[in-house]
Amino acid sequence: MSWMQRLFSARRMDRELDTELRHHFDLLVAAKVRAGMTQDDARREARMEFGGHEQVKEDCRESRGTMLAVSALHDLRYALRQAGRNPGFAAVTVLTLALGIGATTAIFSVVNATLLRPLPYKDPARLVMLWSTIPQFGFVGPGAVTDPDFALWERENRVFDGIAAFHQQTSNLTGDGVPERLLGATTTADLFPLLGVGPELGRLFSLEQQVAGKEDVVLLSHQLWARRFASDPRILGKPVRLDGKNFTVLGVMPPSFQFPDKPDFWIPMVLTEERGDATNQVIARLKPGVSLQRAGDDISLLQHRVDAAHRHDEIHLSFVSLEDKLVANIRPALVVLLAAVGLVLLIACANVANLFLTRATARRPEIVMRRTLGASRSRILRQLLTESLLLAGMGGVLGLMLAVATRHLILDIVPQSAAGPVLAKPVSSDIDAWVLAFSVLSSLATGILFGLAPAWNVSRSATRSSARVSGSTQTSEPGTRRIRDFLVVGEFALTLILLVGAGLLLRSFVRLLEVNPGLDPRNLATLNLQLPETKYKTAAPMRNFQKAVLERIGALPGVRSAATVFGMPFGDGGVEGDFTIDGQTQTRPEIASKVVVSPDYFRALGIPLIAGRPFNRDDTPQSEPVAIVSRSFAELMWPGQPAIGKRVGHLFTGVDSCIVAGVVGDVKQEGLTHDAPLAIYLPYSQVPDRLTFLASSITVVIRTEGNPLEVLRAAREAVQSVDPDMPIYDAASMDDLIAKSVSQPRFDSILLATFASLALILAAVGIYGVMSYSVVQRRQEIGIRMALGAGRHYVTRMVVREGAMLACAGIALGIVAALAVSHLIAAFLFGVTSKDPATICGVSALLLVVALLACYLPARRASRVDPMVALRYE
Amino acid sequence: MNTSSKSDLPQGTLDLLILRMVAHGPIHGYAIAQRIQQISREALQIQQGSLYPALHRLEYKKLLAAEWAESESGRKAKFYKLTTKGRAHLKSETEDWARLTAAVALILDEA
Repeated sequence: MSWMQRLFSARRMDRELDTELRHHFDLLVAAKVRAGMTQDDARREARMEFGGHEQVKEDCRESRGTMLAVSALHDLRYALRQAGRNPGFAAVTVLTLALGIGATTAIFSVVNATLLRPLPYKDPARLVMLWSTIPQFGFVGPGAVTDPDFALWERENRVFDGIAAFHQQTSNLTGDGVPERLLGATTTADLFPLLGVGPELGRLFSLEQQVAGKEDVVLLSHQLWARRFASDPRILGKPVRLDGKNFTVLGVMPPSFQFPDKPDFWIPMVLTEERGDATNQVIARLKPGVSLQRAGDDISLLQHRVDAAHRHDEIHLSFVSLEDKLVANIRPALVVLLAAVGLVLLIACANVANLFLTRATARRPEIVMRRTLGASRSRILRQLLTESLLLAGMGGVLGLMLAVATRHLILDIVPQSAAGPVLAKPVSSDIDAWVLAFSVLSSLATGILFGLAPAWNVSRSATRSSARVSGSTQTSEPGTRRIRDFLVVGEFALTLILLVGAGLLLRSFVRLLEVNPGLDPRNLATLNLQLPETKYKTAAPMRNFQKAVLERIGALPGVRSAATVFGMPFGDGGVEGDFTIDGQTQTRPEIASKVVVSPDYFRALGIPLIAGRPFNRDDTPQSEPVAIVSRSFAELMWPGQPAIGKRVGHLFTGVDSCIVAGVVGDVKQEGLTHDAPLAIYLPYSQVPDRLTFLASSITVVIRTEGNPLEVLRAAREAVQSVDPDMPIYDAASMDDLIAKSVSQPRFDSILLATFASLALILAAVGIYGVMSYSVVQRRQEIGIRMALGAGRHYVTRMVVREGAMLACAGIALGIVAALAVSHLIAAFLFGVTSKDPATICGVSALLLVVALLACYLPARRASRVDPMVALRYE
Repeated sequence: MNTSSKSDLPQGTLDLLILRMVAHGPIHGYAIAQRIQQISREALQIQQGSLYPALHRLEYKKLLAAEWAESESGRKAKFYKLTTKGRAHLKSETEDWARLTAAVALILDEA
């Protein structure tokens, strides 16, 4: 019989053993009778000779070698019975743990999906991205390279196994159905083998397509194919109309392929000989053993030859790990959240440990009894641990279910920042083996953590007082008491840390919302239009289109005014650059935001005019070029002087000198967290025709009477009545745009506040439990005090004071700890310091009030103690 | 009556005696105890408290096999017999024992 069989047929084996021993015994008796004894004497003697029947059986069982497992099974059965006998206790324990483990697992599943799971590309650890630093402007970000430079790198580098260039573009898709603005990527053919991905359908493009005249092919994303073409398998070879030009569908990419940033399509890049703008982003695969540093040095060396001839700007090129960069924006927040949720789990553990201590004390008589009957200390420890592990396991299962149910909520509010993709990494929130392992491990760890201390304590105290089997539950165990106090103090300290964190984030979030954006966001709608140059070609038809759209939208019911702008606040941003003042280059170069607007812009957005005049219809290409500057621009450039009549220049190529006609209020162009940039506004009517990009990307802003979202539909129709092929994108109310710009701080503060609230509840339950228990234990003492004349108020105060002392100790400890660690979230704060005294005082007061409330209930119960009953109780 | 107890038998000796008794053919626990007692001329009395745990241990080590059969008294009894592994074990243990006792005797005689 194998070990497993022995383990599971224990009952049958016991029966057989019994038969066997009984047989022996009977034979022994029979032999004695034969030898001349009476039946009774024979039996008595045989029994004496035989020794304890049960003892023999136990020894035989021991010899099976399954005792450990059998006793574990017994313990489990016993633990289940214990839980069943005390369902309230079990429920509170399991729920507390489920909250802790559930929250931790949910955050871990997000961390796992975003930070830990590798990118779905071949050997992603060796993929790198071009990065650049421009010290002059304090710019750090993705680097870009011109066509000929990229060709040079491709040809002459010695550090890469593969290298590919890409840039993102937008195109208007027309044909069957509503026109739609798509996000696409232009890439060299090497991108796909570099990442190790193949098409789901059809084929990839090859080097032959990277030639002018052959580049009219397109790969569709799975999502676009499904949405727009009903997953038609016969799509291959058919034409798709992008920006009025036909592209032949070559293939469809699998759903998981979303490089670089969830594009709808990919088209081949044709590298030219022209040294135009540096627009190509670069991704490459390091040769094995090549470091990022060496790759950067190698490329910088190549580039040095080119730069000597062509470039003047100081740009440092380097390479960064693709994996790191894709999650760089979200990582700090997730790390903080994981730490926070870990604290919640610790608090939950402390609470449950306290519950266990309470119950273990109540169970001391039982344990003393078992010790007296010969159970070893390790045997009792094992049994108590089994009980805590069982409850932890149940908590873990429930917690995992909670995590599964809530992880979508969390992923839904993971911010998609306006400044760039926060989560460009494709994320699926599946619960995979890692998440499962994590929750199992955290359940085990918590079970041992909260079970061990009480178990140890009890089995030890049981040894000491083993003489007193009757073990009164009334006597307080000083050791236990100390542990319980310690747990409560620790719980309060941890809770305070979380509260400080949440308080700081909430406060800075409120500060952020209080920031004056410089415009009036109420009843303001915006929508975006991209005029394809293939269709509109020059600035003149673009201007006509713009004029027609503005006229029709302005005439819609419910519209107060409408304007167009290039460089929308909270939007994609316009152009930033240097400028001249009164014909002079500045001694200390400043950067200004250059925004092109239609005459009604300031009125439509509610940007106050401080001096001079707004643009009007009289500003024409023929009239004197004018500009409007922001208040801080005027104050910085011409302190103490009127700005009107001064000159600014070097704004765009061909816009060299403008007279300042007005000064307007500062606008938070780049979002609430950023300072309002210096701004220079120019009228559409005066920017040169050559700069078609200024006229082709249009944001329309509409000041409405009522709900701006209701006007947007009519506005869409108005646009399409001018050009039926013109898609509208990013149509939103200004309120929504602002909300989106603060999505990251909102995400951080919502989650941290949730965890802090959880912690607060747990801490309140914790101190309530300890004080209730203390009141029960001291009933006798309280009874005596009352018999001696202590009033109810005195007793209430006494108990509350005791609780308050624990809470204060915890809070004091927590403040010290919070001051030590709060700088870790300094980067997430806005308008408050990480040691903000008001926040720390506020949350301390909150925690103290909650503690006092939690203590008041047991205190009131104490004050109702009937002295006579309490004294008789023993 | 208590001429011998567990502690009088050197470690492992009981196992050896049991294996030797079982070597003659299927035999139940009571008979093993009786045979040891008789052959040793009452010098060794095997306590049930030692016998059965030892029997079970040997069974789980697969040195003994057991089956239920009818005993001479007509009742169901558990009969033990040697396995191949048990027979080999008995042989090597017996040789070890012989060597050990010879060596001990030599020392007691000569020293």
